[in-house]
Amino acid sequence: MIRKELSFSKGKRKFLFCADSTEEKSLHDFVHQAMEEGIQFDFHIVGEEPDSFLDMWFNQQKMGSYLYISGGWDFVNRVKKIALAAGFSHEEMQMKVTGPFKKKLICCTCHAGNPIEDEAYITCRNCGAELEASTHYSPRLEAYLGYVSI
Amino acid sequence: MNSMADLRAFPYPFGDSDVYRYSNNAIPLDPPNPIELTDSYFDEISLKRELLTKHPERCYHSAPHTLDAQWEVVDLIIDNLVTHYPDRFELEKKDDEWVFSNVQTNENITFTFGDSTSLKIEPLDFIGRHVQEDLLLMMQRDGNLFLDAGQLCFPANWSLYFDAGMSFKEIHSPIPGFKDQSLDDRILQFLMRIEAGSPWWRKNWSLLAGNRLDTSLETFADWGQARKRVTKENAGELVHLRVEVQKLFRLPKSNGILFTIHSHMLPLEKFVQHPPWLEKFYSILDELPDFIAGYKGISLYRKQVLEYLEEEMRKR
Repeated sequence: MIRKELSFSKGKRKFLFCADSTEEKSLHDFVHQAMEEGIQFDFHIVGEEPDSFLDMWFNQQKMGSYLYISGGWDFVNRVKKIALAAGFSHEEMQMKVTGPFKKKLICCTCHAGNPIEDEAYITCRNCGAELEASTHYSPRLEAYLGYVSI
Repeated sequence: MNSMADLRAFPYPFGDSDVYRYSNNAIPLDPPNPIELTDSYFDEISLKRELLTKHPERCYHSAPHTLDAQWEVVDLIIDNLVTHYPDRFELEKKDDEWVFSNVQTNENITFTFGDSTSLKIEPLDFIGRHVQEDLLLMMQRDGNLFLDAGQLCFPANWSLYFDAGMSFKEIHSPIPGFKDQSLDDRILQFLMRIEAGSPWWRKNWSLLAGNRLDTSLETFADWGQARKRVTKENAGELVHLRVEVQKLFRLPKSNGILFTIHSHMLPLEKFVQHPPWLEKFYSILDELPDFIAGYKGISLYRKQVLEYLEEEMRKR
C-alpha cells in the first residue's frame, strides 16, 4: 500500500532506502534508527539511473531485505514495479508519495480511465456517469474500479 | 413450458439449513458433464452471439498464453456435446482435421485442431457460442489461479474487462466477509487441488429485479433501476430467483481450470408454487445478514419480497 506516512519495520535483516532527490530527507530518521540498531542498509538517491540499475540492485538482495520508497507518484510507482518484478512482495516494502496521487479510476459503464487523487466521487470524463471510487484494483489496467449508483 | 416443468427443471439452490452463509459448497460432479442444454438453448445462444458482436470488449477477454488451454476446452466441450446430445451435435475427425456440426443452427465448422489460424475467432470464443454456459479459464502458476481468459455474456453484476488477469483473491476482494476465517484462502487451496477427471460443481443464488440474463456491471445503470420498482404487489412477477450452476474442470495438459456458469432464472411467483421452497426461502431471506444482502443487491427490496412471501404463505 502507498501511504501518507512510513513506519519503522522491526525484525528485518537489511533495509533498502530509495528516494528521489526531493524526498531523501524523509528517510533520514529511518536511516538513523537502522544505524543505531546496527541493521545493515543501502541508501540510494535515484536521479538519472536507468531501470536496469535498480533492477540489478534489487536482484542482488537476499531474503529478509525490506524496501522503503519515497518520492513523487511516478517515481514511487516506477520503483515499485521494478521491485515487484525482481521478486519483492507487497509485504516487503513501504511506499510514501509526496504531492498529488495520480490514481486511475475505470468507469464501470464505459471503461474510460479517469485521473483521481483522493476523491470518493467523480464524474466520468467520457460518459458523464457519477462514479464512486472503490478499492477494487486491477493490476492489468493499473486502475481502480468506479461504480455507478442508481 | 408449463409451470410444473419449469419447477422441475429449476436448480433449487438451498440446502437443509434455514441460514445462508458464504461457504465452499462444491460437491463432486457426477455425471461429469460441463454442459447442459435447456429449452431456452436457441434464444440464449442467439443472445450470446448478439452481445459478443455488439460488446466484444466486455464479453470476451484472453491472454495469448491461454491458447493451448482453450483448445483443451474445445475438446472437452465438443466431446460432451456429441456424446450426450448426438442428435444435435456431430463431429467428424480425420487426424487433426475436425468438422463440428451444430444441427439446430445448421452450422458446419471445419478447423485443424490445435491450429488457431484455422478458426476465425479464438477457440474459447468459438465453442462458447454453441453453449448456454459462460466459460471462464483460470490458469495456475506461482501457487495461485489467474483469470486469464473468459467468454462472459451473462455476468451477475461483475466486469470481465476489469477483473481479467486478476488472481482468485483479487477478484473476490470486494465481497464483504469473504476473507473471514480465511474462506478465500481455503477455497483457493481447494481449487488448486482439483484433479483432471474429477470435476466439481456448486450452485450460487441471488435475486434479480427484472429478468435479463445480461446483467453486466457495464449496464447496471439500466437494469439496476428495477430494484426501486419492486413492491409487495409486483414482486412475484418482477423479482426472479437467479441461480448459477457452476462447474469446475481441471485441464490436464495446460493445468488450467475451466469454470462454467449456467445461469437459470425463475420468477418468484413460479418458485413459490412449491410450498417447501417458499417456506425455506422465506426463512433464509428473513435471516440473511445485511452484508450478504447488500452484496447480492437485495437490500433495496428485501422488505417488499418478504411481505410478498408472507402473503403467499398465508394463502397456503
